Amino acid sequence: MAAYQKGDLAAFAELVARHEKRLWNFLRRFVRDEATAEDLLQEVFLRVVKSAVQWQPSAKVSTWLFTIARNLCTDQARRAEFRRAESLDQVKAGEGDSGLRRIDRVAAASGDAETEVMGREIASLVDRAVGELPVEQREVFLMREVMDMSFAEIAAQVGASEPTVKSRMRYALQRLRSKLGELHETAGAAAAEGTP
Amino acid sequence: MKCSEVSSLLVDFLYDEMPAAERREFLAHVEGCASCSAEVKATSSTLGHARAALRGPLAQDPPARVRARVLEAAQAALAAKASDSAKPRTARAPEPEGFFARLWRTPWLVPALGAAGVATVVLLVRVIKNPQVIPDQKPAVTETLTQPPAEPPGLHQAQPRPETESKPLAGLAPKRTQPKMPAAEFDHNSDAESKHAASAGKPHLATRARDNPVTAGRKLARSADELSGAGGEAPMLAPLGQASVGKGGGAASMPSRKDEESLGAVAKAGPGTVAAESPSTNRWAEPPPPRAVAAPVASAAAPAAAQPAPAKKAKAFANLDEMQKSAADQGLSRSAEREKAKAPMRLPPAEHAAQAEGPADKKGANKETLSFEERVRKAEKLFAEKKWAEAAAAFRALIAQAPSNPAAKTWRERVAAADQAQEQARAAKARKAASSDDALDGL
Repeated sequence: MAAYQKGDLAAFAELVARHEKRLWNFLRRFVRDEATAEDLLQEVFLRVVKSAVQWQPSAKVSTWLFTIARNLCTDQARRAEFRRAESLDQVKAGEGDSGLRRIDRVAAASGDAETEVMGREIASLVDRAVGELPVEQREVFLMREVMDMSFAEIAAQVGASEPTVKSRMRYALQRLRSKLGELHETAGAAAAEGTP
Repeated sequence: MKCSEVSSLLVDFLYDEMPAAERREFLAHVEGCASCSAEVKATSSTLGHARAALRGPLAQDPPARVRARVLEAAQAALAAKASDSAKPRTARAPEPEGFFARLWRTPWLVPALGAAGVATVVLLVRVIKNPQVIPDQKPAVTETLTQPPAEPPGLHQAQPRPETESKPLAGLAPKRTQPKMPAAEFDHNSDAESKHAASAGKPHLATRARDNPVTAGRKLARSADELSGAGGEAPMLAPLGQASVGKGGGAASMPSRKDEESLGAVAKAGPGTVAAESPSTNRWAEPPPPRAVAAPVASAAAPAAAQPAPAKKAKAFANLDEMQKSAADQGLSRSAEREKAKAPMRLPPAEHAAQAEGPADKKGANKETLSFEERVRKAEKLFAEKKWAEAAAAFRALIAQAPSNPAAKTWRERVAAADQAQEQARAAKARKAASSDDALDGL
C-alpha cells in the first residue's frame, strides 16, 4: 500500500491479488448473491484507491479491507432486508423434481466420480446452511473461517466482546450441525459400510 | 467441570484457544460424559465439513473483470494524482490583485456595490431636482429688499448656535435649557414690545441678522432662540421702524429647524433691531403662519420708517422670505400652524390684539415685499432680454424706491448700460437708415 501511495501500480495489483479471493468468498457467502458480491468487491478496492492517500502505514491492510467490506455488507443487508435473495430457494425448488433430498443423493453416491459429486453437494449444502445463518452468526463464522481473523479481531470489528463473539460462533456451529447432521450421519454410515 | 461449562467452552476447545490445564479438565469431562462427547464430536465434524467446503469447492476466485476494473481505476487515480501534482508548479500564476480581481473573487460584493451605486444616483437626482432635501441648504439671496437699520450693540454679541443643532418647536418637543445670554445685552421691555406689536399688528420677532447674508435667515432664527433661551421669553417681532427687545427669564423650548425656516422674515426699521419671529417662548409664543409671519419690511412697505442699515442684513430678509415660502410649499410649517392654534391661550391681551389685526397687515406687507421682489426680478429679466428701455425704467423705479439699497449701485450700472445700449441701437439704426438713403441716392 505504501508503494502504491508512491505511484507503484504493480504494488496495488499485488495487494488486490493477495486479498481479493478471501474478500470475494466472504462477500459471496455474506450477501448470498454473486452479482452483488462482485459489485461489492469492486467497490471495496475502489474505496481503497480513493482513500489511498489517507492510509497510514500503521494500519493493517487486511483489517482495513475487511472493515470496508463489512460496512458494505451491512449496508447491503439493510437494503436487502425486505427483498431477500432467494437464489438458493430456487435451487431448493429444483430439488423437489427428483423427490430426493440432496443429502440423500450425496449419501447414495459411490466411487470417485460419486465422491466428487458428493463433495460438490456437501459444499452446496454448507453454502446454503451458512447462508441461512443469522447475520450476526454468519458474520462471525465467515470472519473466522474465510477471513482467518482471530476472535479478538472479530470482536474489535463487530464492536462486541470476545465472549459474545465466541457465543455467536457456538450458535452458528450448532445451526450448521443441525443442517448438516444428516449428511454427517450419512457420511459416517457410508464410511462404516466401506470399511472392511 | 459441568456439562454446561463444556458447552460454553466448546468453541475455545475447537479453535484451540483454551489454556492447557482447562483443556485437560475439558477432555477429562468429555471422556466421561457421553452426551458432551457426542456434542463435541458432532460439532467438530460439522466444523470440519464446513471448513473443507469453504476452503475447497466453495473457495472460488473472483471474476477477473473485477480486478481489471479495479486496476484501471487505480491507474487513473495515479494519473490524476500526477497531473494534480504537476499543475501547481506550472499553472499557478500569481493572481492579479487589482480591485476587479478581488471583486471577482468576492462575487457578493457586486450586488452590494450595485445597490450602493443605485442609491447614490437616486440621492443625487433627488438633490438636483429638489435642493431643499438638504437640511442646511438655503436659497441664494440675490436680491436686496431694503437696508436694515443699525443693530443695537448688544445684539451683536449674541452668538448663533452651531449649524447642526436643531430645535423643536415649543410645545411639540421636550423643552431644553439653552445657554443663557447676558440679559444686559438686550433691552428687555416686554411691555413695550407688546405695545409695539399690538399697535403695529405684527408678530413678535427677536433675533438679529448675521453678517453672512446666505445664512442670515437661519442665524436670525437661532438668535431669536438664543434670546428666548436667555430671557425666557422671545422678544416680540419688531414692527416696522421699531426696535424689538427680549425679556430675560428662564429657558424656553426651541423650534425645530423646519420651523425655524418657516418663521417670518426680519423686520427692518426703527432703531435698528433686526427681529425675527420666535415661537419658542411660552408667554409670547405666537406660531407664525408660514407666509403671514413674514414681516418684512421693505422700504416700499414703510419707506418713511426705514433707515439705513447694513445691506447684508437686508439680504437676509429676502433669504428668510424665500425660505419661508419654500417651507410653506413643502408643508414644513404645519407644526407652527398647530402651535398657532394653541397660541391664543397663552398670549397676553396685547398679543391677542396684535394677532387679531396681524394677518391682514402681514399679508399686505408680504404682498408688498413680493411685489418689490417681483419688480426686481422683472427688471433683471428685462435687462437679460435686452429690453433696454423697459429695463432701465424698472431699475430706475427700484433705485427711486430704495436708493440706499446695496444693489442700487448695480441697478444704476444696469440703467447706464441699458441707456448706452439704447443709444447704440439708435445709432445703429440711424447708420442703417443713412446707408439705405445713400444706396437710394446712388440708384
